[in-house]
Amino acid sequence: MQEKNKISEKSKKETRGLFGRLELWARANSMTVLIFGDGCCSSSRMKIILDDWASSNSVSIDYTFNPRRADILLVIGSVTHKQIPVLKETYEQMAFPKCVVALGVCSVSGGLFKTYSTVSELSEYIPVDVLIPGCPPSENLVGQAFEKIRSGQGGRE
Amino acid sequence: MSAKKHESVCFDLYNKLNVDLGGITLGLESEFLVIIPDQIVSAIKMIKDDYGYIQLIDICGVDCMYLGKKSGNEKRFCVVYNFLNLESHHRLMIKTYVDEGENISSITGIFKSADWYEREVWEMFGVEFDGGRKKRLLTHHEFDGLPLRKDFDIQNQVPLENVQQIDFPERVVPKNDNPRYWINLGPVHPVTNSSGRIMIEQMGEHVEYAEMEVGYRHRGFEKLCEQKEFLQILPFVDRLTASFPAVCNMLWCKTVEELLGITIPDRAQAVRMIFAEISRIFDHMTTIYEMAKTVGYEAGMNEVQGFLKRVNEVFSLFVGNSVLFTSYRIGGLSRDIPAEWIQQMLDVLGILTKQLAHTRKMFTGSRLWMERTQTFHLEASEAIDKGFSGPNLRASGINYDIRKNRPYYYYSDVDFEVPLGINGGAYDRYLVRIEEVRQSLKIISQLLDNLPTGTVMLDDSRFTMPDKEEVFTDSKELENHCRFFSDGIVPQEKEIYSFVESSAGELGFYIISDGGKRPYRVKLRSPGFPACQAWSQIAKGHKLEDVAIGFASFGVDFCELDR
Repeated sequence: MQEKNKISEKSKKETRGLFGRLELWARANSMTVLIFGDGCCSSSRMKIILDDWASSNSVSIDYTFNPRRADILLVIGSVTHKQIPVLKETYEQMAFPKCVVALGVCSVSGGLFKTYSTVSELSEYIPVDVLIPGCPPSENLVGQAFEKIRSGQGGRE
Repeated sequence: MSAKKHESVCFDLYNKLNVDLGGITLGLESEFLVIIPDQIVSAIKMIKDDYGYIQLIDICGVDCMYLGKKSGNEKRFCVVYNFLNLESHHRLMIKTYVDEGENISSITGIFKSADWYEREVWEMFGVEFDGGRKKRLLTHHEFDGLPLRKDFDIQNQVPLENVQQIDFPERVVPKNDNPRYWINLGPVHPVTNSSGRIMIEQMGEHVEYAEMEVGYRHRGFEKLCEQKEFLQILPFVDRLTASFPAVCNMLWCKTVEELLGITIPDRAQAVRMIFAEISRIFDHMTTIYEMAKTVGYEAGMNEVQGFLKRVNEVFSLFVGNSVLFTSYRIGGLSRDIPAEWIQQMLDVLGILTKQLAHTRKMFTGSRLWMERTQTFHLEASEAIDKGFSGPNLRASGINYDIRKNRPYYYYSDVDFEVPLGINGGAYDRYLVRIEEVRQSLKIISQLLDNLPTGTVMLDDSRFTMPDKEEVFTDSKELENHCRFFSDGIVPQEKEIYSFVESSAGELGFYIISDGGKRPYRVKLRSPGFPACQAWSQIAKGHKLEDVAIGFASFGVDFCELDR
């Protein structure tokens, strides 16, 4: 997946004209995030961390609950089987280019809470582009992950 | 109330009920009244009407598959009812034993809040309640199996294909009536934070019928606890909820300590109180933030966010991260608070008190805020009946705070007041919360001024980890070390219900220990559970735009609700 992205990144810059490049620049510096889930990696505190990162890197981050407007799907905390149909639908509704960020180890693999109701493999249901490991992830890692998305690694056209 | 007095109250009640109900069918198991399933409705009705146990705290199911043989009981399941007398502050627990295939009468006619509790027992254990609803609550509708039974495999996952459609089979809409519409809020919605789903039947501009679907964050915490040893559960209770991070794990340690019969050092008690109060401040302000979000009061949101950021900073200075508090251990704390932190906290307290005064002025005096939050009024009797606790109950004017009425740690020694509301609306719930934040700041400053000296960890080789230095030099300590890491903590055979006042209400752990390394059954009494249930009953007749404000004002956290 990563190699594919790199190729597309290269071709993007070559083929696009001035407005195409302007669009890419605008996209990279203004992200619309849809936060899905609210685990012990509490979404309200993650927002504080993200806002800090955004203000120090002169990026604008906007939060939305409208999947059609969102660029980044931020999955927080353990995902249960009950959430899966909703999560799939949310992902499908999002417009391209889109990117899925899984925050915390619980979201991808079940983590600590590996039981009858939690999903043990998130990538079976939706493709995960960036994983921020940790329980809970450190602030630096969250910043690094969003830096990656900004520079064009991860995400799909 | 001491255990002896508690037992005597139970014994008196046992004698009285024996006379009233015609005897022979009741039993007394230390602190529990035992009633046969046929008489449960009449007994509970009598307890409510004649003896003043007017609030239902919890209903808990227990699978006695391995427990029954020890106590001589033949039946498979046990249902434990937990009641509170709001006058004498006495708690009564009633047990009833049922076998597989045997039904219990539902008590939803007596206590409205019993509905969800009974549904949970039915879905988790398969115990059927006559007259109760049979609809899955925490697991999804295609789920197959009874998770909390002892013979259920914890890894038995059932994937879900489709979302449950909105259908209320019990709702019969008469023909020739005004047209009705269905509205679905969530799970991906700012009100429910993608963890709950609100289904509303709308008539005109008003809510005609509403229902809440929870369980999107059900992680099987209680089943998980049965698989782990007492010490291994600590990381799970740390991560149970993020809205009051240092309360769930404190309660777990407190409950296990009571189970073992140990008292932790003075300094540890005080430090636990400090972090519990910081958590309370954080959760109250988050609730006010969520309310401001639903109202659309942007200036207020920014103000509260600045406050939250400051609390977060001082919290993470000691903890190291902004989300989890992992320093609690059974027997005290893993490390002491440094002197610099105390100094910093005292500095921040002054700033916070000033900032809080400014925030109060901004909110309390705002006409927009006042007018928009005059909704979802709850009368005192209604609030009790629906099982509310904590600030939501106090907003209706009921003076019940566990910190005052059943003080734990040093709450009887610190000076603080319990704010009460008058009308029981969303505005009152806001007022109670913001005043409690002020009182919490007061408690923290008192504690920091009079912090007891000494260690923060109990020095008892049975329950705590021995010092590493001594393990290498002392053979007895080495033996303790080996025993501690191979056996862990082994309490005696006992059942206990312990509770604290969390920022959302009464948070309690009911633990049954069968004398083994692992708890036999763990039940978390969540404060959000009855509040969430009651929301759908209260919502009827309210305008659609008030629905979100009303829900946000209860301060429900889905993480601890779904467990």
